[in-house]
Amino acid sequence: MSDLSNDTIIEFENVSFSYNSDNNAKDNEVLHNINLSFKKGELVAVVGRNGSGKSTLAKLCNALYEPNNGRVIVNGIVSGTEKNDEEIRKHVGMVFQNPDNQIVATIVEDDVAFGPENLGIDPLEIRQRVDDALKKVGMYEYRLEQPFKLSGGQKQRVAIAGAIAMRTECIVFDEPTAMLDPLGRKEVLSAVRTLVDEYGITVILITHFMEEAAQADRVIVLNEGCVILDNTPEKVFSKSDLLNSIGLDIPQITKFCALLGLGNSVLTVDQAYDLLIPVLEKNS
Amino acid sequence: MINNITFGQYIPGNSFFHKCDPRSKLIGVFWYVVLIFLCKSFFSLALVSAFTLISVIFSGVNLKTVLKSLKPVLIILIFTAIVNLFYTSGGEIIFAIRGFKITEKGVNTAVFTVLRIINLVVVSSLLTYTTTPTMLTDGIERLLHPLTYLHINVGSLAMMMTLALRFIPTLIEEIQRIINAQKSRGADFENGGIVSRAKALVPIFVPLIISSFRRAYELAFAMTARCYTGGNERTRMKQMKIKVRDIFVFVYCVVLTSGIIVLNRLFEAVL
Amino acid sequence: MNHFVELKDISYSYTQGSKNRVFAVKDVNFNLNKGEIVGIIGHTGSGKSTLISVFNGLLKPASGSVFVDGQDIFQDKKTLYNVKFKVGICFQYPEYQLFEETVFKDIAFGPKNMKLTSDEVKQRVISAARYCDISEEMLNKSPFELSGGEKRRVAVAGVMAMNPDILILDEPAAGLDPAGRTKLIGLIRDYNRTTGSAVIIVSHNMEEVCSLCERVVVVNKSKIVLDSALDDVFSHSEMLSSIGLDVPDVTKLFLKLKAAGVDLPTDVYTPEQAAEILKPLINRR
Repeated sequence: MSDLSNDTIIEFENVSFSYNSDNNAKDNEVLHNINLSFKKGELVAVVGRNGSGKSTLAKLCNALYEPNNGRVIVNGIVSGTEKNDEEIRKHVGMVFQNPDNQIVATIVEDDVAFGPENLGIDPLEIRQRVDDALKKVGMYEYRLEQPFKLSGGQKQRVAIAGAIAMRTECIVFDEPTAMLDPLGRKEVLSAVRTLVDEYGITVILITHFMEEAAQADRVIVLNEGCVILDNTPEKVFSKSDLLNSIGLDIPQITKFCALLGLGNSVLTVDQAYDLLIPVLEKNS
Repeated sequence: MINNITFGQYIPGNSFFHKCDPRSKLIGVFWYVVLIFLCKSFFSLALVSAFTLISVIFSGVNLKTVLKSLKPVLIILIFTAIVNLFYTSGGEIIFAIRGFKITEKGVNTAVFTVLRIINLVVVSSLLTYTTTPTMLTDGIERLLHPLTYLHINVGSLAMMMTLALRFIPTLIEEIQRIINAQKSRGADFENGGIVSRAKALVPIFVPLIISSFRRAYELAFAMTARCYTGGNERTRMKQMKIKVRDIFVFVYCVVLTSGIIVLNRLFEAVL
Repeated sequence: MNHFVELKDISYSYTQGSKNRVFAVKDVNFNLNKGEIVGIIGHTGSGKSTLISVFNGLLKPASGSVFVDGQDIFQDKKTLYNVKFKVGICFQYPEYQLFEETVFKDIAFGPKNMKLTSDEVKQRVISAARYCDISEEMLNKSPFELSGGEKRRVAVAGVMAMNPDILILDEPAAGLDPAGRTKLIGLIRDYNRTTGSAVIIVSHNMEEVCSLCERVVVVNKSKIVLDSALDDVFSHSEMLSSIGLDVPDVTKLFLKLKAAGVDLPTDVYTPEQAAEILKPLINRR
């Protein structure tokens, strides 16, 4: 087995991937030789342009895809065989971009129960897990609603509950807010934060909103199938020239603070506020 | 727009029928449908109608909603009435104009058939009003369980039904969106002959089919990610148990059956 | 004074006729002139999507009238049909409406419906392709082979090809990555400048609207609550954030600082502007 330390949940070892695996031509590759490890309890953001391979990376995390070369190891289990893949999916859940295309049932609570039902769990325990999961994402009072009557943000929270109810230790989010309005984005992001902060769930968040990535513990930048940056958000967003050159932004606040000469590692409104208030009070 | 679809729409409630096991409701409705067709006289049909009315009360669904469910079949009702009225001959002639005769038997048949259809529609919509689609498919799955011995994957069939029900509103919304988009590019669905009208549907159906495939593809990933394999032994959060009230459903049907048999014997057949 | 588009006292309800009517749009008045570039902001359910569907007669308002180019668009069937070519609407995620075998044919769908000659259609397609940076090679491809960003541009070109006097785009950049967004916004700006057609962008992304529009209309709870020039909009920043709109982060920061007692203007929305204002305050010793 690999040299997995206890606090690693997902490990990528020299992973390459291409969609048409029959001709292993290098130019068809979506991901090249990726080495990454995700630690338990982390909130990791993965950013990159469309086509940079970030969605592929997400699907490799819970064995929806198999690497052409290298290994993906989840809690010591190597993906690639049917039995292992099923086991991996019990550890790593996934929330997709389009809220409409991942809800399977016609009633909210039945949808949340779908995963545990597939795992063959005892009915009484499923009931408990479903109620618990819906409460965790703040959707308990909607448990008897029909999904198509919910807003986009609410649907995504139902999808999150569906993953929690399987007792996954890690949830991969594949651009969960891309189709939502600002209100829905806020709802989903605060649910994500709760998962990490209160329930210790590891989150891998694929996004192209830099403001969202700025809230992570760690940011991975993908470009043309390679990891080009992997660091704290402060360090990553201080490389504004590099990011711009590969078609990515930096958060507005970071840009503003850099213009003011306050350094290039300020990420949020609150940080900027805390930094500015003493200076402004002293001067007035 | 979506709110106008009354067909198959579940109405949350706590009535007697809401609490019944979906299996007994399914069997009950099936039985009831057979009974409706066994009615031969107006007396037995009156008995069925009375039982239907009682069922409506037991379902807690208000009469107005129930009548609404008849709206989509209104055309069928009128059509059947007219056909029966003019094409059934026999008995006394009540009314005649330009070779069209309306006979006593014609009137009887028309009324009889229309009443039958009304009973049929009301009873089956009571089933969907009081049973969530999930419970309904679960019920069907369990009733069809014996088929697994013939190597038919009943679980997958039931899953397909659930998914179909789940995606109806989504696809209706999608169709509306595509129609609006193509109309905005000058697509004309209202004018021209049959050929050009059929052609006008291409810009709707091609995107619809493509997006349905995309949805199916994404859905397959989402279901796999949640450990659905299609073959695994799934458990269910909501268990079904036959209770006293379900026995009542059977008693109800038995009483109606015997009533109809007696009335059919006592009175002359209409048809 | 005659405007190119005039909406007079428009009301629309999805529950037409029922007792408890909920209005998606209520008593809205709106005018638009050729060449303008306007942003309509509001969150989901504010009525903004309903409003644009009234512009080309897809929805008929319960009351009020819509004039385009001096004509009441609901006066007869023909006017109602032809208004679609004067007011081009590109809905959210327009790439899902593509259906033809080639990009060329798909862009040609609108012009063909206008009964133009094949030469004219070709001309229209080529110029629309140019506005949307679609190469000649791409025109012969199937739209389904393209990347997400390219499909989006093809769909936008399909609407531009009708040469509408007004181009309405509902969330044109939704789902695109930052570079894709910037590119599309740039193309829309150029289109407005070269053709002189009016452009309306519907969005809930304030930054996007600010980077493009000269006039901003804010819709909230079925009504227009603000209709003003871009520079004035952010003097209402407090109101904007109180109705739950996502104002740019620097605006948020300035609002927060102001609330703490720092004397600052709140009509800022770009990092450059903001830095310009704060620099003297910080360096004053």
